[in-house]
Amino acid sequence: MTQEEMLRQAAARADQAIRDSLPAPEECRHEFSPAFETKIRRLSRRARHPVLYLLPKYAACLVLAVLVAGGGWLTVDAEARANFVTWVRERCDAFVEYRFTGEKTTGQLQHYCLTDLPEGYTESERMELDNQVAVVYQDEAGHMIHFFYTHGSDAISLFIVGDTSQAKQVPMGDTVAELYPAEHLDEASVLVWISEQDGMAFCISAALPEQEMIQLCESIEKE
Amino acid sequence: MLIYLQMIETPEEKSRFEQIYLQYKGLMFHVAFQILHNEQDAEDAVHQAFVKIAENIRKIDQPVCPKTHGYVVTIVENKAIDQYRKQHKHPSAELNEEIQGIEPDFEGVTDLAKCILKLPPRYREMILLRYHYGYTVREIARMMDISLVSANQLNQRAKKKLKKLCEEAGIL
Repeated sequence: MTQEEMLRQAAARADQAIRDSLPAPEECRHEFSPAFETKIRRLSRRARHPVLYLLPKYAACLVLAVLVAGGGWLTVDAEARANFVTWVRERCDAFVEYRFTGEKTTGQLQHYCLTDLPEGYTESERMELDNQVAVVYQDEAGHMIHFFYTHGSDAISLFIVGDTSQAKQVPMGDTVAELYPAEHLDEASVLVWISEQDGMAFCISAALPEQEMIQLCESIEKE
Repeated sequence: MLIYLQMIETPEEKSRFEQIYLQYKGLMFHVAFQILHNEQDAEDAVHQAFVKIAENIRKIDQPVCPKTHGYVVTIVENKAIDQYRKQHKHPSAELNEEIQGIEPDFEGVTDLAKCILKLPPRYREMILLRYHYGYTVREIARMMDISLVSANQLNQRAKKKLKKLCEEAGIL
C-alpha cells in the first residue's frame, strides 16, 4: 500500500471518529434568526442554478432549463405563499427572480404573438413546454427578439441576470412593466410584466431601444 | 442582460443544497457554537460554511451520506475558527494550537488516524479535505479563503506535522 493510500484510509477513519464524537444531526435543534434564513434562501437559489453563473454576462439568449430543485422548502416560504397568490419579484445581488406563488393556473394556455415587429423580423422558432412558451423572432442579420410567456405555476421562476440596478418601471396600459436596460446598445434589454387578471407573466428580450421595446410589448395580441 | 427560466420538476423535490441545509444546519450550528460560544457568531460561521457548500455543490453527489456529513462538519469548523481568529485578532490562526476545534474521541482509532486527529484543526482540515474528500489544493484555497501559496504552505506544514506526530507515536 502506498503512503498516499494509507493517508487516505486513515483520513477516512479520522473523519468517521469526528462524526462519531458529535451528536446525530437529528438531535441538534436550533431556531435560526430570520436574517440567517433570508441569507440562506438567497444562497439556495444560487446553488439551484449554478449554470446561470457560468453563462456569459451579456449573452442575449433565452435558456430553457428543466432542473430538479426544491420549491417552498422553508417555513418562511410557506408563510409567504399564504400571503401572496401572485407573481412575486425578489431582487438578489446578481439577479432578479420572478416567482409564482399560489395555486397552479389550470385550463388551456392562451397563446400570444407580437404583431408590431421591427422591419425584417419574422418568427423563426417556437418552443412550448408545460404551459410555458418561448418564441424567437429573427431578422436576416441574425438579430433576435425573444418573447416568453407563461401561466402561473408554483414550479417556475424567471431570472433576469446582469446589472439590474438600472431597472425602471414603464406604464403599459393598465399595468406597469419593468424594464432592465442593457448597458450597451448591442446587448439585450429585458422587459417583464405581469397580467394579474390572467395569472400570466410576459417577458421580451431584445437589443432594441427602450421605445421599441415598449412598442413591442404594446403590440401583443391573443392568437 | 440574460433571462433564464427555471422549472422545478415537482415542488416536493428538494435540491441538494436544500437537503444538506435541512439535514445538517442544526449540527453545523452545534459545531460552530462549541468553538465560538455565541449564537450570532455561530450563525455567521454556519452561513459562511453554506456559502462554500453552495460554491462546491456540484462536487457533492449525495446530500445526505456519511461523506457529506463529515464534509459539512469540516467546513463549518474551518469557518468557525476563521470567525474566532477575526474576533481575537489571530492573523495566523492556522498555526495557533490554542484554538480548539472539534475534540474527537480517539478510542478505537488506528495510529495514523489518531495522529491526524491530534493535528491542529487547520492542518487536520487540510488533510481531510485533500485526502478524504479529494479536493485539490487550489479548491481548498478557495474554500478556506486563502491564497494558493498559503494553501500549499498549509498542505506542506500539515504533512510535516503529521510526520512528526507519527514519528513520536513510533509509526514511522
